[in-house]
Amino acid sequence: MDEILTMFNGATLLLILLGSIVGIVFGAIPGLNATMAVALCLPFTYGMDSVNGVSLLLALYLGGISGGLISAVLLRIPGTPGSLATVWDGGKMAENGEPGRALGIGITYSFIGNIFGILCMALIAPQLANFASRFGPCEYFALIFFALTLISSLSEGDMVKALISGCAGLIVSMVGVAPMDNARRFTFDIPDLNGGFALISMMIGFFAITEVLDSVKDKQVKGYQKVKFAMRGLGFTLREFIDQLGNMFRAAFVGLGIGILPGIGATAANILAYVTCKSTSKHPERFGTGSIDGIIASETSNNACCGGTLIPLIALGIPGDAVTAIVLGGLMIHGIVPGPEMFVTNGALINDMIIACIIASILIFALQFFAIHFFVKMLYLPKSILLSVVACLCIVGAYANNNRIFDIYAVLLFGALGFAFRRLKIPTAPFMLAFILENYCETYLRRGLATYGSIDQFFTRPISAAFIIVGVVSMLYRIYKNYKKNRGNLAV
Amino acid sequence: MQIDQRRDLITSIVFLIFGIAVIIASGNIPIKNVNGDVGSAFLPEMVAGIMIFLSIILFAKTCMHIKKSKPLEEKNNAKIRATVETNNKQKGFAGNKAVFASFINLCVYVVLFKPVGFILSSIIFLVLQMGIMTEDSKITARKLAIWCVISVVTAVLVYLIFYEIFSMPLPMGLLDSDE
Repeated sequence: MDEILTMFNGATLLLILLGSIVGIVFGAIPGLNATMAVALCLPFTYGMDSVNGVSLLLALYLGGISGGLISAVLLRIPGTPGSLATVWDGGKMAENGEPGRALGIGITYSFIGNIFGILCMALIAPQLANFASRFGPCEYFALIFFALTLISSLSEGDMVKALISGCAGLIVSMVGVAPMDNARRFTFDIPDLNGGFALISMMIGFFAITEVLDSVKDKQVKGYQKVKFAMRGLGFTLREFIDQLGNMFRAAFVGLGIGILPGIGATAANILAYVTCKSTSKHPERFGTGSIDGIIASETSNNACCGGTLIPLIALGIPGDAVTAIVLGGLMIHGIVPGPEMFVTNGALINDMIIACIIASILIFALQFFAIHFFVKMLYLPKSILLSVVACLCIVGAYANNNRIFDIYAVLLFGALGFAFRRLKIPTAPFMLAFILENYCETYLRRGLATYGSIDQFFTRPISAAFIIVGVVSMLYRIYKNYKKNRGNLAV
Repeated sequence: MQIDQRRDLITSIVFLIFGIAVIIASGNIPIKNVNGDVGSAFLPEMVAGIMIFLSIILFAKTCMHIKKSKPLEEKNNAKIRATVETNNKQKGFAGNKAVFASFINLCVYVVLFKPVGFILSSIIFLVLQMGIMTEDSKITARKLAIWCVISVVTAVLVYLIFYEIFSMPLPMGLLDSDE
C-alpha cells in the first residue's frame, strides 16, 4: 500500500498519462510504433529519477501496443504490427456496421490482456523466466515449426492455396543476408536487398495499399456505405463474456508464453494466438467474419505479451524485443541492472514498475474508451480524403522506420502483391504468418544443428519433440479433413 | 470455365514458375561449411520444392473440377451467363481504371519522394488521389480548393512533426535551400 501511495505523486501520474497518450497515438498511426515512441522519449528520461523514467517508458510501451487496434478496426490497417490479426475480425465487424462495438471489445480485451500479463509478471516472474531459460534453439525451432503448421488452419477455403501462400511468404522473407553464415540470398547484387524486406513495408503494403486500391474499386462498383455507430456498454454482453472465457485465456496464455521467450515479440504472439484460438475453437468458421472471437484472440494476446516480455527482462536481464531492449537501456542509465539480484537489490523498483503498468493500463483503457465516439467520427470523413491522407502517412511511416527509400518501394511491391492475392482469392494471412516467422525458424534450426551437430536433439528433447509431434499430427489431421471435405464436394 | 477455376489455374501456373525460378536462383547461393549446418540454400530449395508440388496439386485439382463441371455448364443458359459477364465487365471497368490510376499515382509519389521532396510530392499525391477517389462525378473549384488546403496542411504538419518532435528530417528535395 505504501508503494502505491508513494507512486501516486502528481509528477509520476502525469508522466504515465502523457506516456499513455503518446503511446496510443504512435500505436494508432500506421508506420509509427511502440519501439519508436519509447526510443524517441528515452532521452527525456535521463534527467528524471528512476521511477518516473521507467514509468514513462512502460506507459509508452503499453499505449503503443494498445493503440494499434484503433486503425486496425476503423481503417483495416494495423496501427502497429502487433495488432495485425485485429484487422481480420475487428475490421470486418466495423465494415458490417458496428465499429463502436469492435473498438469496445478490442479496448476491453486489450486491458484484460495487459492486466493478465502484469499480474503474471508480479506473481510468478522468476518461475516463468526459469521455464523460458530452458528453451534452447531446438525448443525455439520446434515452437516456430508448430506455429508454421498452423498455416493450414488459416485457409479461407482452399487449403492448397493457403499453403502456397505460406511458402511464398517464407521465400520472400528469405531475401537478404541469411542467418548463421551471412550468405546473400536472392539479392541480385542490389545492396538494398541485403537487409531483406522490412516487416513494416510488408504490413503497410498488404493492408494500407491494398485497402486504398480495393476501396477505389469498390467505390466504382458499389458506392460507399454510411457508417453507423452501434455500441452498448462495453460492446459485449455478460453472456458473451462468459462464453468467451476459454478463448480469452487461450489467447492470454499464448501471448504471455511468446512474450516470455526472448526474441519473438508481439507480432508473432498476436498472429499465433489468433491461429491457435481459431484451430482450437468450437466455431472456427466464425473467425474472419467479424466475430467477437477473433478480436478477443488478437487483442488479448498482444497485450498479454507485453507483460510477458518484461518477465525475462526483470528476472534474467534479457530483453525480449526491441522495446524492452530500450527499456533495459533506460534502467541501466539509472544504475539499475536487471537480473535475479534485482529482486533483492531493487525490489521496491520492481513493485513500482508493476504499479506503473497497472495505472497505465487503466488510463489507456479509460482514454481509449471515452474517445471511441471521437474515433468513430473519423469514419464520417469522406473516404477519398481519409484514405488518401492515411496512404500518405503510411508511406512516411514506412520511410521513417529505417530512413530508407527502398522500404517505400517495397511497400508498393507488397501492395501490388496483396491486391493480386485478393483478386486471385489467395489468402494473405498465411503469407504474413510465414513472412514473420521464417527468420526465427531458420535461425533456430541452423543454430540448433550447429550447436548439437545433428538433427537428433530436435526429437529427443521433450519440449521440442512435443511441439514437433503436435504440429505434424494436427497438420496431417487438417489435411485429411480438408481432403475428405473436398471429395464430398466433388461427389456432390 | 468459371472465374474461380480460371483464378486457380493462373495461381498454380504463376507459383509453379516462381518455384522453379527460386530453385534456379538458389544455385547461386554461396555454400559455407559450418559444422552440422545445412547451409543457406537448403531451406529456399526445400520450400520452393514444396511450392512446386502444391502448385501441381492445385493445377491437377482445378483440371479435374473443370472436367467434372463441364457437362453441367453446358446445360446452363449461356445467354444469362453472357449478360451477367457483360454487366460485371461494365461495372468493373471503371473500377479497374481507378485502381490503375491510384497505383500509378502511388508509384509516382514514391519515385518523387526523394528528388522532389516530401512536402511537394505529398501535396501532388494527395490532391490527385482525392480526385481519383472522390464520389462526385463533377469536380468543382471549391472542392479542388478544399483538397489543396487539406493536402498542404497535411504535408506541412507531418513534416514539422517529424522534424521538430522526432528530430527526423524528411527529404526536402527541391525545397532544400542548401542545394
